[in-house]
Amino acid sequence: MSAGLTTLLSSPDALLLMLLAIPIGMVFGAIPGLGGKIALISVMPFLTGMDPLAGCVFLISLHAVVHTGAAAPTILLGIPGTGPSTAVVLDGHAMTKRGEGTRAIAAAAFASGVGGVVGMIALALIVPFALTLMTHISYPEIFVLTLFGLGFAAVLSGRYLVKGLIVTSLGLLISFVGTEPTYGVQRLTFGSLFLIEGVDLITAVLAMFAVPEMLTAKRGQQRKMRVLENDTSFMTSGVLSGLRDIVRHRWLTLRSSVLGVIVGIIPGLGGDVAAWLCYGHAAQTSRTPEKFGKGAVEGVIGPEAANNSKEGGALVPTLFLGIPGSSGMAIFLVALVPLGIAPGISFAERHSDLVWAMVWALAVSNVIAALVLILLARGLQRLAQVPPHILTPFVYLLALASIYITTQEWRFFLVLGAFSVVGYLFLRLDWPRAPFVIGLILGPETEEALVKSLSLWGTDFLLRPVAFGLVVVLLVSIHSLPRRLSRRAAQTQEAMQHAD
Amino acid sequence: MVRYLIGSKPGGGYDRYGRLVAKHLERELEGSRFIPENRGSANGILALREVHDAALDQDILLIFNTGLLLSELGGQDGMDMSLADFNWIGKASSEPRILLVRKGTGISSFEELRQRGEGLIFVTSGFGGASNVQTTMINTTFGLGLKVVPGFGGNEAEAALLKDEVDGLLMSESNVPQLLEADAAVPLLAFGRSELPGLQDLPQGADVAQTEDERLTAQLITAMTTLGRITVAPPQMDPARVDVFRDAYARALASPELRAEAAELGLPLDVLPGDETQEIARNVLSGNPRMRDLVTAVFEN
Repeated sequence: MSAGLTTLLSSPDALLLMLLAIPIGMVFGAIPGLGGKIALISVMPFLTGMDPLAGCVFLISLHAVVHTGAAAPTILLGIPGTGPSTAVVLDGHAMTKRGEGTRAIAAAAFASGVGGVVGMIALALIVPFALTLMTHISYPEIFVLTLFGLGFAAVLSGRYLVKGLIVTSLGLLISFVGTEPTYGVQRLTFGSLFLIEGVDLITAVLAMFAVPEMLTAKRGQQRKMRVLENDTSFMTSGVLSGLRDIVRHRWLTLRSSVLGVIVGIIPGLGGDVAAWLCYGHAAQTSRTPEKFGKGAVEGVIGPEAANNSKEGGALVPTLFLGIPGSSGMAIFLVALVPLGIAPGISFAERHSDLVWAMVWALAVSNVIAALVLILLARGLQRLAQVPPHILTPFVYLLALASIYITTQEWRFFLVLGAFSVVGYLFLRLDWPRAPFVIGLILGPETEEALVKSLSLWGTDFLLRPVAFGLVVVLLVSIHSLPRRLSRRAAQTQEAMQHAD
Repeated sequence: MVRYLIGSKPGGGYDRYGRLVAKHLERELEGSRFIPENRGSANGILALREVHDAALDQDILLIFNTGLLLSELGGQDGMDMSLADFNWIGKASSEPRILLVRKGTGISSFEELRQRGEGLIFVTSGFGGASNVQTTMINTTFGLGLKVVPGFGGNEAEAALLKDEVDGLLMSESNVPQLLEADAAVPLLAFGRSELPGLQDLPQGADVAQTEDERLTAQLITAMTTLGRITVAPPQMDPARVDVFRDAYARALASPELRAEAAELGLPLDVLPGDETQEIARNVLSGNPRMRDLVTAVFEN
């Protein structure tokens, strides 16, 4: 492993390209709709003839920092830069509206940096057991994990449990629009071909969160933000607050990072799932779950740490088995071809220095990207100070552009319109919106894992050791949930009485 | 300006071939500008429809997923156009398909699979996808008694095989070497000639076929491997314009520049002119009615 660091540091080309990749990757993340996959595809023509080490470091750094860059539009404008950023938009943007944009950006940056480093450490520890781990965590275990995720919806609903369950069900229902992935049955498409692949996640999140927030934006809020953010000492304290948040929630940061690594290792589970599982986990373990969705910093830290650590996990099957751990890693494998590199079973043995140099590059570029984001926080937060009547049209345009870039289908603007009405009503009627996205993201994963588990193991799938253990934990959690929720409701009520 | 649609999402094989071909077509047709656009929705059916309905004077081409041929043969919803009507510009590559089993099954030949295959789990792409239709046809016509489980993408299927969760699959030749390197799989049968080490001497599907249905299945799968990475133009395009594109395509694919770039990108080439490709496709689509019945039966089950 240390030889990998030496290899990286002894190659000026690799270091130079790493530094070049970081701003490029962050820009691709910051422009909604682009993201890591498009970034990799865009640079592929320039890879031919490049030194393999420098090329690999360039690619890995480029892909690693995308989510860090995505934090800026997500937190400041309420427009998620990438799919996994959808888990940050709720609390990150709420913090911006409260005048704490810099703090949120700083917390996101520190969490991303820690996530990247933890991802690397966990990767180093896990590699010897990677195949065993993959063998023990398969579809049955994914199924039970997604049930945990759906259970988080109840926690996120706070005192509106029934409303939360209704909203989760609505998210699940919408998630089933499109072609069922195993048997190809079309559901709820109403004969329309453009719905065959289901409802686009970015469209749904923009409709449920960004558009209603813009519709209800008040000038007073923005003025308050301007006063707060223009103050230099506040700026400094914003960054320090973000750092303090990470220290205060260090165990959440670590747990989310490790969870991100594990999700990354499992082929087929994407970054969206990692981010939302950690968002739910943050809410479940928070002392103030009622603040989630209203600007809880844990709602930024959990998904941001997982976003970046997941990339480390995804490298395990990609580099050590030649099996991409995510769709981004699939394109990464393709991008390695012009460099003459073909990861596979014995690749890590034959090129261990190269592999570990890439792992180090992943960690170092995450840390540098986090620092860059912190340095840019002050400039970026000025965006949020622009008066709503000027900013809002641009944000709408950005939202529409991101939808078109992602889907290349104008009819998703109609979906945006329809869901925006639902999101607006939820906001006005004070119904929780996060459970909708949890249902939307975890619905297909839950269904697919269940169908595959039953196809491969029959009903015995729940008797696999890890799955069985998870089921026991799940049952215990369900049993204790009403008690915990009522205790938290009482705490919340008490806190409100004190406030009065 | 020529719009060059790619009937798949960014990053896959179709995308890579499409962008390579578009770039070199632009060089061959002086003064032209080719704009590649990914149109992967609904397996590329929407892109196919866009090309089908293009205005007479519109320069638009499409590289499409050959799985659509099976959709047409099986009479699938949404495929109310015939691929035979399009103007086929040419094809860039072929990719033989390999039937293999997990090493732990102890099976070492296709004959053994015939005798001991009952109940073995073979995973495929989603229902109706090319690998699902082809695996199901092999299973049914050769009477193997396999349990065919759909819903596994290529990488997912490989991972499942490595983890001993499944017993076998039908896959593109380019993905087989890493399974052989891991000593995890035994290749049994090929559809199309492979030049890769360890796969050259495999028996062909047609060699082991004994009945008419088995022969038709082997013939269809082999034809599908031949028809790889095809570029088509709208059915109504002016024949003179079609010839311009076909000539440019042939020159581009024969050029040392494209060949060198394809080699660097790891994209094997197996070029066929548009008229010959169209002939093969027409034979598949309008050939033996029994072949159509076999594909339809897969979709109807």
